[in-house]
Amino acid sequence: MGELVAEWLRALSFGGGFNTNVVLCAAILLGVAAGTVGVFSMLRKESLVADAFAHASLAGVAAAFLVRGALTAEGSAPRSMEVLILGAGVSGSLAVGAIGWLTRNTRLTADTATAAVSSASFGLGICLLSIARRAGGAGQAGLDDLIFGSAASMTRADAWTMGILAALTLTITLVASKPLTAIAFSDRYARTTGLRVPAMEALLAALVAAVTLAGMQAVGMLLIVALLVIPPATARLWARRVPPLLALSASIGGLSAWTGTSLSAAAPNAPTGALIVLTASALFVVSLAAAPERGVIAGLLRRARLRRDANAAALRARDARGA
Amino acid sequence: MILREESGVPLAVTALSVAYRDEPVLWDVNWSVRAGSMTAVVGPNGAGKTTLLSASLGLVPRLAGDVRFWGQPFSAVRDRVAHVPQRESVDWDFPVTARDVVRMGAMRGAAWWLPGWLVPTRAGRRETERRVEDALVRVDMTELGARPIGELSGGQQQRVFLARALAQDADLVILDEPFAGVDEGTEAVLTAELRRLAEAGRTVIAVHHDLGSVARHFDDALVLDRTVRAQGPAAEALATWRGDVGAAAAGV
Repeated sequence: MGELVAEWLRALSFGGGFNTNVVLCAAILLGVAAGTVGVFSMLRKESLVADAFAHASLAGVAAAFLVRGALTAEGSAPRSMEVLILGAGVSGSLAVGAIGWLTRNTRLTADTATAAVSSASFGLGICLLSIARRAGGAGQAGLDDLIFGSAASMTRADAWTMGILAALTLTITLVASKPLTAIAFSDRYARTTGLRVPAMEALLAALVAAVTLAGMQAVGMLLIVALLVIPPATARLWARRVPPLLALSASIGGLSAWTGTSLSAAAPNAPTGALIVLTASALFVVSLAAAPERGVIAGLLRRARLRRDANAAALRARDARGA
Repeated sequence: MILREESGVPLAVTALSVAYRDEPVLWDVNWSVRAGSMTAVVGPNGAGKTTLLSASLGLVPRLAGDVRFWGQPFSAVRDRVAHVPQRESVDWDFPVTARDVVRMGAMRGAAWWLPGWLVPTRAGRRETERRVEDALVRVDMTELGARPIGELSGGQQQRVFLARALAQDADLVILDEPFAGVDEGTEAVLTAELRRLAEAGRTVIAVHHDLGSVARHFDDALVLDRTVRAQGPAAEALATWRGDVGAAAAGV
C-alpha cells in the first residue's frame, strides 16, 4: 500500500518517465479543455447533448471496427485507433443532428428527444458491438480501450494527438467565450446583436464533440461526459460570474485528470477514466457540502438561524403582551 | 437598384403577417411610429403584441410584409435599437451580476464579441465602464451592481435591463411589459427615464397591459388584436377602439 502511494506521488510529480509524463500532460490539458467547454453546455442546459453524443459513439466505433476488419487483409490488422474514433465522430454527430431536428420540427421537448435518440443509438451500438465481438480478429482490445478508457494503452503519438486536440479546443473556446456566453444567457438578445446563433450553436456542438473524441481513448466514451459535466457543476457552487466559473471549472477538470491519470499510472490495470471521474466527483461532493452560498451546510445554517430568529421574535411578542 | 433612403420614421411596419406553423398570429399589420414619441402597444391577451415586436426585430420569421427602421432593414441599424425583454424570458439563475448585464449594452458595436484580453485599447475599456456606471446611476442601481441578477427583486431586475438599453445609447428602445409586476418606486424610475429619452428625441415603444394608465404614460398607442384595431394619439386610439367594440356589441 505504501509502495502504491509512493509510486502515485512519483507519477503525480512528473517523475514517472517520459512516456508517462506526455500522457499525463495531455490528460491535464484534456481535463482543462473539458472543464471549459462544459461550462457553456451547462449554461445552455445542454449537458445531456454530450451524453447523447457519447452514447451514439458506440455504434460508430463498432461499425468502423467491422468495416476496418472487412477492408484489411487477414492478419495485417492495423492498430489505427483513428478509424474507430472517426466512426465515433460520425455516429455521434448524426445523433446530435437528429436531436436538433426533432426538437425544432416536432412537438417533442429537447430532453425527450435527447433521451430517445441517446438510448436508441446506444441500443444500435450494443448490437453492432456484439457482431464485432463475434467477428473477432485482431484489435479487439482497441474496442475496450475506447469504451472504458485506458491511458496505459496510449502510445506517445496517441497522447500528442489528444494533447493537441485538447489545446486547440481550449483556445477556440476561450477566444469565443463572449459569444458563447451570449447565446447561453439569451439567444434572443444574442440575435439582436447580429450574432449568428445557429453558427455559434454548431461551434459549441463541435467543441463538445472534439473533447469527447479527444478523451475517448484515455477516459472512455461514457465517462468522458462526466469530465464535461461535473467540473462545471462543482465550480458553479462557488462562482457567481462567468470568468471565475471558467477558471475554476478548468482547474477542477485539470486537477481531476492529473490525480486520476497519475493514480492509474501507479497502479497498472487501474481504470484511468473511472479514477479521473471519481476524483472530480469527490470534489463535487465536498463542494456541495461546503460551498458558502449554494452549499448544503450553509443552507442548513441559514435555515437554523432563521428559525432561531423567528422563535425569538415570537417570544418577544408574547412577553410584550404579557407585560 | 434599390434605394435605401434614410427616413425619419423609426419603425414602419407594412402588411406584416406572422404565423406559428399554420396558425396565424398577426394579420396584415400596418403601423408607423412617430420619432420622439412614447408609443404603447396594447390589446387583449393573445393579441400578438410580443410577436409584433419579435417579428420586427427579426426574432420570429415573417410570413409576409416588411419592417423598416428609419427606412432600413433591422440588420443595418441593429445597434441603434435596444430591446428590453419580458421578465419571464430571462434565465435568472445565470451567473451574471447586474453590472455584467449592463455591460452587454455598453459593449455593443463592432468588436463586442472579442474576449477582454484581446481588446487592445485601455481607453475603449474605460469608456465602456463609464457608460455602465452612468446607466446604473440613472436607474438608481449603483449600490446593487455587484449582485447576481437572481438576487434582485423584480423591480430591480427590470431597472437593470433598462440600464442595459440606456448603456447602449440607442435611438429606439423597445420594451416588453416593462411595468409588469414592478413596485411603485421602479414604475416611477422607469417612466421618468423613458420620458427623458423621448424628450431627448429618442423613441420608446412598450407593450403595456394596463389600459387605464396608457394615456397617462404614453403619447401614442397601437391597439392590436391580431390586426390593427386603432392607432394614433393614445386617448383617441383607445376611444376609437372602444367605440368599435361598443358598436359591434350594439349590432349583435
